[in-house]
Amino acid sequence: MLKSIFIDKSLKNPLIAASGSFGFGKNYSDFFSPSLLGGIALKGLTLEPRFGNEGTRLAETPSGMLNSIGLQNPGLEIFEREIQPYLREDLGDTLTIANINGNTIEEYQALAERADEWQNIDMIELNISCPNVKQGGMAFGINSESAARVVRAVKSMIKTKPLIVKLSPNASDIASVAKAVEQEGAQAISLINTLLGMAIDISAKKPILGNVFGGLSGPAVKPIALRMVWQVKKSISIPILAGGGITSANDVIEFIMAGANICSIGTAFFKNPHVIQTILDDLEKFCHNQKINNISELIGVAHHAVL
Amino acid sequence: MLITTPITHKHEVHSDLFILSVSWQGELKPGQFFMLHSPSDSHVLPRPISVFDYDIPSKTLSFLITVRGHGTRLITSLNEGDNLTFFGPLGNSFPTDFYGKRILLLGGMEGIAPMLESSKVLKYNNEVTVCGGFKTKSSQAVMNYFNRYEDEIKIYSTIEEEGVLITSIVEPLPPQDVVFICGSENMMKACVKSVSKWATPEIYLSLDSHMACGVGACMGCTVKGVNGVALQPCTNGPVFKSEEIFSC
Repeated sequence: MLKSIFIDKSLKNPLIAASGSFGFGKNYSDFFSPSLLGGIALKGLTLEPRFGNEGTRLAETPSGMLNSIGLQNPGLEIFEREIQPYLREDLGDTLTIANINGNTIEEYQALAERADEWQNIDMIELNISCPNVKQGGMAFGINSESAARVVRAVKSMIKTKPLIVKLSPNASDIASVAKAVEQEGAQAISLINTLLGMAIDISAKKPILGNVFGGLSGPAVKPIALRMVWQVKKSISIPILAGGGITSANDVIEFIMAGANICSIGTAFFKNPHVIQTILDDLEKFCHNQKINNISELIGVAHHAVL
Repeated sequence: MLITTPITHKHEVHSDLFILSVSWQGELKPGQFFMLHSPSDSHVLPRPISVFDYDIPSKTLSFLITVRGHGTRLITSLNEGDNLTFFGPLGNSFPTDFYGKRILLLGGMEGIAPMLESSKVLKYNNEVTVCGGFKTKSSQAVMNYFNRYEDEIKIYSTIEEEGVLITSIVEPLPPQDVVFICGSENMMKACVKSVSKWATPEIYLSLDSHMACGVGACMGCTVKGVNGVALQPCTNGPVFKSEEIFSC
C-alpha cells in the first residue's frame, strides 16, 4: 500500500529521514529500527572534517526552529573508513542517500566521484542549498546558472548512482532552478532545504545564533514548502523528494498530492522520536479508508483540480 | 522510549524556577539528563533538563527547571495532574567511584541540580561539600532540598545580589581532591581558576547547551574542546574533565 518508486529503486514506504536530522542512521535506534524508514539521507559530508559554526547553533521559534550547524561532519576519510562500511548493519533494504557538499565545484566533484563508489550508498544528494556555510552551499543553489554549472560538473563525475539535487527555498525562482537542474541530467529534485532566518536574545541584546543567521525548519515552513513543491512539479518531470515541516500523515499526503513522489521528515524527530511509526500507521489507515491501492496513485492529484 | 505521565508534584521556588516531579522507574546516574517535551504542538524542541532528585523508595523523579525561553516557560506552566512527556536518562554521568576523598560540588543557579544526586552517592565514602551560587535570595530556597543530608555533607550557598560570588566558598576550604562544577560558562571558568590553587584536584564540568535531538544526531549542541575538538554534550557529555574544555 505504501510501496513507492523513486528513480530506479523500490522503497517499502515513502518516508525518508532528512539529511542532518538523523546523523548516519544509528542515533534513534532506542526508539525505532532505522529499517522502518523508506530511506535515509545521511548527514551532509564534506571532503575535510568540519567543526561547523561557533557558538549557539539552535533557537526556538514559533512552530519551528532555527539551526546553524554549519555542516559539522567527520569528513570523507573517516566516513569511508569508519561509517560507510557499516551503514547497512541495521538498515535492511532501506534506501541510503549520501548528502554531499563543497566550497567549490571541484570539491563537489571530488566527493561525487568517491560517493559513486560507495557500495552501501544507493543515491547521491547534491546539497546546493545549505544556508549555514560561508562558501558554496546555498550560493550555488539560488540561481539557475550556478545550479546548472555545479550539476553539470558533478554529473560528469558520476557513472552509476542516481543524482538528486537538493534545492534552496531561498532561490529567487525555485521552479527555474529545478528546470535548469533537470536539463543538466539530475534524476530527481529534493526540496526544501531550510529558509534563512534569525532570532535575537532581547536581554543579551544580540543574535541568539553564533552565526547570526540560521535555517528555519518545522511546521512553520510547511505551507511555503508545499507551494514550492507545487511549482516545481509544474516545471519538471523527474521525481521529487519533498519535505518541509512534515509532522503527520496528513502532511505527507498533502506533499504527495502537490507532486512529491516521496517525503522527508526532519525536525519532527525532535518533537516525537516515534513519528515514523505514527505516520506509517496513519498513512495505511488513510489508504485503507479511501480505498487507495497504492499511495503513488495520489502523486500530483491536487493539480487536476486546478486548471 | 517516550514517556507520558502526570506531574505528581510542582514546587514554585520563585516565578522563574520550578521543581516538577513525576513517577518514574529506572536506573540513572548523577549528572544524567532527560529531554522534556513542551505540551504545545507548536513548540517543537524538547528541552534538556538535568535530573535533580530521584527518590528510589517512592520512585519519584524531579527536575529543577529555570525558565530560559519559550519551551521552559511552557513546561513549567504545567500543573500537578497535567501530563509531562519526556525521554531519558541521557548522557554520561559524574564519576562516583571515589573513596576517602574531599569532594566539592559547585552549582551555579539551576546548575545545582546534578549536585543533589551526586551528594547522595558520594557522601557514603567521602567528605562532601556542596555550594550553590544564586543570583537572588529567592532562588536560594532550592538548597533546602539538600538539608535532609545536613548531618552527612557540608552545605553552603552564596547570593550574588548580596555581593557574594560562589568562588568565595573556595577560600576557607581545606584542599579538595575532586571538584564537580555546573553552571554558566563564566561561573565554571571562575570556579576552575579558584579551585586550581589546590595541588591538582580532579575537576569535572557538566555542560549546558542548546539541544534539539538529545541523541547525537543533529550536532546542535556541539561545544569546542581544547585543540578545537568537537564535543557533543548530549552523547559525549554532559560531563567532561575540565582539561577537555578549558586549557587553563
